[in-house]
Amino acid sequence: MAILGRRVVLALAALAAGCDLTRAPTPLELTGETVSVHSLLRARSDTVAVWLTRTLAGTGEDGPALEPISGAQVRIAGPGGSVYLAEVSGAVGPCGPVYWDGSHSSDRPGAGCYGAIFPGGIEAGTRYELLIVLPSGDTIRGATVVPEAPFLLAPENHTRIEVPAWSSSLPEKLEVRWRRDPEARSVRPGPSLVAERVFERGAAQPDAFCQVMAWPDGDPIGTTELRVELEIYWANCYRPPTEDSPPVAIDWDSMHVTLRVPACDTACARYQEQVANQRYAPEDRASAGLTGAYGLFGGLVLAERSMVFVRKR
Amino acid sequence: MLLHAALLLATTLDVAVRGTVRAETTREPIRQAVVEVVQLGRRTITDERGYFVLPGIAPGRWTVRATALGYRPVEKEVVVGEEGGVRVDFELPVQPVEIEGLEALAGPETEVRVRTPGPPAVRVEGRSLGLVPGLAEADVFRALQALPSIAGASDFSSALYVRGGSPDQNLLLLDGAPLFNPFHLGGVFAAFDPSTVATVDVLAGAFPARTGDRLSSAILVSTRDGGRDRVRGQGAIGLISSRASVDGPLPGGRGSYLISARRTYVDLFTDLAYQLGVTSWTVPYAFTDAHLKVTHDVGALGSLSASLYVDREGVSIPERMRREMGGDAAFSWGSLAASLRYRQPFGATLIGEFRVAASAFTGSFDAWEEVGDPEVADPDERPLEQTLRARSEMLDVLAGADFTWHRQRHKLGFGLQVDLYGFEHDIGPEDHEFGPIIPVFRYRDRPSTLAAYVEDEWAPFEAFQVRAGLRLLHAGSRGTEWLPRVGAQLSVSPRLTLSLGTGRYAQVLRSLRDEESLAASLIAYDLLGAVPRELGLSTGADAVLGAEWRARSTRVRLDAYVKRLRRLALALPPDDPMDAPILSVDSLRVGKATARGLELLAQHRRGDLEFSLGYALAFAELEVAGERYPPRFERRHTLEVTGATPLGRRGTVSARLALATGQPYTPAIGVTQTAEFDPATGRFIWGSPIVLLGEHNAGRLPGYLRLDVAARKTFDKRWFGTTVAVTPYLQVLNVLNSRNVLFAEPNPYGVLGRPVLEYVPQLPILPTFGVEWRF
Repeated sequence: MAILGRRVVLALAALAAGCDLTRAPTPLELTGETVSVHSLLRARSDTVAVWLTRTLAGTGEDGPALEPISGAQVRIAGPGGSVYLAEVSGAVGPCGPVYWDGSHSSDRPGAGCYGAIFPGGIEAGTRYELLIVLPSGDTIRGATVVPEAPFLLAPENHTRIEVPAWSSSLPEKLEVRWRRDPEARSVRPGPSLVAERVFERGAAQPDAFCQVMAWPDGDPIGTTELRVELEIYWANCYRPPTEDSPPVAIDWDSMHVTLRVPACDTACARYQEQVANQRYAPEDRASAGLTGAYGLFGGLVLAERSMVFVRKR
Repeated sequence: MLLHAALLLATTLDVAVRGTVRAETTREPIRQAVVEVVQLGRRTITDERGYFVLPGIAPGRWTVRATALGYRPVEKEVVVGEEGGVRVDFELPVQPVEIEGLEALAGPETEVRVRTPGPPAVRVEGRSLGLVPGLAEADVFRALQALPSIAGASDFSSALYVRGGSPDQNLLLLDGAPLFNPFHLGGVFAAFDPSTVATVDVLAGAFPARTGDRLSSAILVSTRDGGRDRVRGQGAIGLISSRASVDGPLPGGRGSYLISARRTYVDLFTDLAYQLGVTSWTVPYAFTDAHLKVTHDVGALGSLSASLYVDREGVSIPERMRREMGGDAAFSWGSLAASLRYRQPFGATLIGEFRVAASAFTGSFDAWEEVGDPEVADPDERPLEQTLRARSEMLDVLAGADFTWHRQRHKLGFGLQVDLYGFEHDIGPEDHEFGPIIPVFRYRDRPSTLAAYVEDEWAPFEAFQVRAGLRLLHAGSRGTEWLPRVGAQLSVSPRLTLSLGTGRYAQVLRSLRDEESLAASLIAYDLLGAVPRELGLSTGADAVLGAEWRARSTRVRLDAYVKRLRRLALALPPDDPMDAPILSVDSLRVGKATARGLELLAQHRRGDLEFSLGYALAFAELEVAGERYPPRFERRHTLEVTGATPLGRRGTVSARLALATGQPYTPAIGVTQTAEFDPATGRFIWGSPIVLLGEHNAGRLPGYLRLDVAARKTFDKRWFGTTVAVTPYLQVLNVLNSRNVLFAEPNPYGVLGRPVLEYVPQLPILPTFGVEWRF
């Protein structure tokens, strides 16, 4: 049969091979050069910071090639007035960025980072506007309403939890419940814990460091009232090394921790979605609180609770 | 009053040769048989009940010949007296064919040219469906996707996209009853038994005024009546389901019945394998469909036909799976369609058809998750929390009547139809776990429409026919649209015919699906609603210019079309198609669409080899919120080649090759870096690389190539005193194992830190087999 003949099949097979129908991933030909802005205004903080970078076309061996943008005019305005942010140079700026291990990200730490003290500090429930004029003359605008702090329903302040001496985790999950401002979204990964003070044999250990980790069991559930359960672990409690001694582990008997439940505005939540999807659409230059750049200009507020973990001896 | 006058006129002006054409053995009516008064060269075609009228035949002795595809012609002498008409009925013997199934494709040299004003419908014969390899078994929609006017979304969806339109713009009728979601397995194949199908007529544009009311196409599925001479049965045992049908005469011989049913056994087999310890999983999904049709003669030439169709699907989690999953699910959905049609000639030249029909889709989807302590030993003690509660109901109840009045050079048609729709969708709870795909919403609407039309077909001379009609669609507060329709056909030479058609169309229904969502490639089911009142009816207009050339063994048809759709309720183009929910329930905008293209359909027979080629060049564009983009299922070039050849005396080998341009997708144009805010330290921390997407659908996926082959051979077996024709078949889909792309996803991490585009493939090479039987 003519059309099913061997030659035809062979020709089709050759065609398939020639067209690379095995569909191995193909390297992306990238042409986009983009400006990114990262800035979160924290309620009750008097420091404001904007991190301004440009992604160069193509990518480097270790990911996208970034370049800080210097020489821009950056202004943040609110009801209490406005402030021009100055470029922080020669030092690690208030906006970072740093890697998770604390090391700096750039050969020029602070470049592209603009900071200032905002008169009167950032207030919850207040609208702030961002205006950036790039050296090229292009403008970027942003706006955010810093949300009200979530109202923590549980745990109560100064909650005391006893843990077995041998344990490196809380015996039961810690339920955290809060009521949020309808305009606010919770920020992943949800509530976090910071060890503030550590006691060993009744004595405070001012230099001690304890890494406390809180793993939420799923995403917060609920609409106006949110609930999440945290699995809490701790590790690496030690006194930092000195010139004469290596790090010394601490066998703590009580630890004062601060539970922080953050909430941020819709711009912040939108940015989190984009990061989770690993994709920016063209329209995203006009989202996450910004017009004219990718990134984020949003507002954040933290609700806090003090807690004490006590080891049973 | 008008009807009464028409009836009176029709009965007083009867001067016609009329009658029926049926198959000799089964006495089933033959559709589109050509009946000709040989000496006068006057021709007509039979309607779907096999009825014909040749009006205005002068008194005298005439030879009347009936010809139909797959049957031997029959001639009869008739004498038309001074007093009026004469009735003549034909029973055509089946043309002996050596090759099982090939008669359906055997066209050009056995077919007498039929002229219809305007671009003709493309007809797919039910008998040819088995020759087109389908997924696991013969499939009506897969066969339609081989036509140049129709595109598919993917290998996994049998939804039909006609000339740039979306599936909700297709009017799909099964024996006159509209169908909602006639799919199984998410849309992998059509939910009706292909062996019950007599014909499928596809009108891809320039419809006559009688056809309505959708914007893109009318797909008319007619099932067989069933034989009137004896009981027959047929069926098939396939890999995932089996089907059986029985047809035969009604007592008294004045009617027939057809019953068919199909069920999958994937659930039963996988459950058995699990019980035997062969597998550690089961598929708790099942589908079934059934169809019943009864036809009975009324009077000399009238007929009453009742059709009932039902399909159901469901997911029911066995007890042990519930324990393993820590949850439960109960899904059930399906369609039901019923129609009753009464057809009656009044006098010799007026035919009336009256119909009532009802069609419904219902779906119920519930899922629960255990929220109690998993340490509790007894799972029944653990409380369940409902994570999905969804209900969907769609209903269309209609009543209508059509009349056709045959005059010597004119055929006047008129009719009306009332449709009462009901749509109710309720998806929750608010934080249900399918939120990323199916948004939470509640929708309820009960629109109704009244449609009426009048149309005249005029043949001023034998080589030229023209039709002009006007249709009215009234949808209450959603508005009223006047819809003119015009068509013409000119025979330039005995071999070459030109056709032209144009018309306006309107539609009250709209889809809640977002066709730009990635999920639309995988799921064919649609939830329908009505266009918003403030928007009014969606409208469309098209023009089709066609040419058809026929030789003894070759037929070539070329159509050029242009189509514009207005007032479409469309979702905004998604920011991220890979993350867009399949349903779009808010942020709708008024959109419009345009499509234009060229379609070539060629059929050729050489010896025992049948060969057909379809090519489509298509340009489609949607415009919403100032943004223009090609729809995700547009393929610029599509080439389909189908061939069949004998395998021994009663066997067939067939193949289908599809080559097409890749579908549009949204390309990645850059990569940048994200920074995550750490609330513990109040600083930004380097996050992950992130891809920058370009304009929506600005890129094209790699091309599509697929070759399917099928072989079948029939053997006669004598079982229980009856001769049973047994036909084993083997199909291999995607013989070349082409890695056709379902979608492409940019990966910013990529290979060795370089971002790449990763492809998710469609169907791999897939052999399937089964056995058909018939007695």
